[in-house]
Amino acid sequence: MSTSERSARRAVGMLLGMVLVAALSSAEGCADETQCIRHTDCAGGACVAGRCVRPVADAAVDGGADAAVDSATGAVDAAGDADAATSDAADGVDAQADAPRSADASEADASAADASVD
Amino acid sequence: MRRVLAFLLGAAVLVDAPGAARASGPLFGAFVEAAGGIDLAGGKGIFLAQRSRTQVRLGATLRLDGLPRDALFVAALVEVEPRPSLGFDVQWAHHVLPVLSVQAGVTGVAAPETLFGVTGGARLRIPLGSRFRITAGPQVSGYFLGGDLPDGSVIVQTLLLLGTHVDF
Repeated sequence: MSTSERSARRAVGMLLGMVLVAALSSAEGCADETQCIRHTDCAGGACVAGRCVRPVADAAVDGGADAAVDSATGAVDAAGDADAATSDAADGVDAQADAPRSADASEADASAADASVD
Repeated sequence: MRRVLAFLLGAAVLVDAPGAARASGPLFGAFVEAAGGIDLAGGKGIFLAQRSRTQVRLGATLRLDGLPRDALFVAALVEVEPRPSLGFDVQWAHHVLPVLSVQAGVTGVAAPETLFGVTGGARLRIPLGSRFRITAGPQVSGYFLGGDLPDGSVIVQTLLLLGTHVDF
């Protein structure tokens, strides 16, 4: 066997080995789509420590939206509290108005109505 | 794969037509290669392996009279999947045997992000006729610069290439 034939055989063997390694790595590498080694491996994101992460801007938007929802919920709750207070106050006014008209009304009831208005 | 082989054989028949005279002086050639392989990335305690992006290289070669065993390869490098990009590859090749060459140079990706490194490899050149060759071989590239590279990491890419080469 000549030197060139030996070299050719070695080259072919090396190529076959590389094909095997590439096939095995391909089967494992595609399993986790969030794995990355380049920023452009991540659709619209960045590659940090081998994992795709969203850009800071997106995270900020999401965080802002959450905060806005929380604030809105709080505002609704506060409005509900205000309505309840208004309702309580109205009840108090009604009770106060009814007290003088009722012959059986006691001073204790009127005091309770005043307390509700306050 | 069948389409690739059919293309290679078809190109061999078309290009290696009889009667074509060899030019004197610098010899120009052209080649197209497809490549796939494995990328290894390391840095900051992280070591990852994943399938390389499939590449196509379309380029030209230049051989000088005074350096019959050497050639300059300049190619456009296109990563076609899973994510596309466009780059370049410039290598100097030296024929250590009539059917085997070794080569080394610089390579990189220019768009959509940048990636630069050095590369080296070997090619088995199987002649089909007087001017046409089927080429195959390994190539190893190290990428260590560019905006596409996460901070503090390097990528070692090992590819297997298969292609065609024709001398004009």
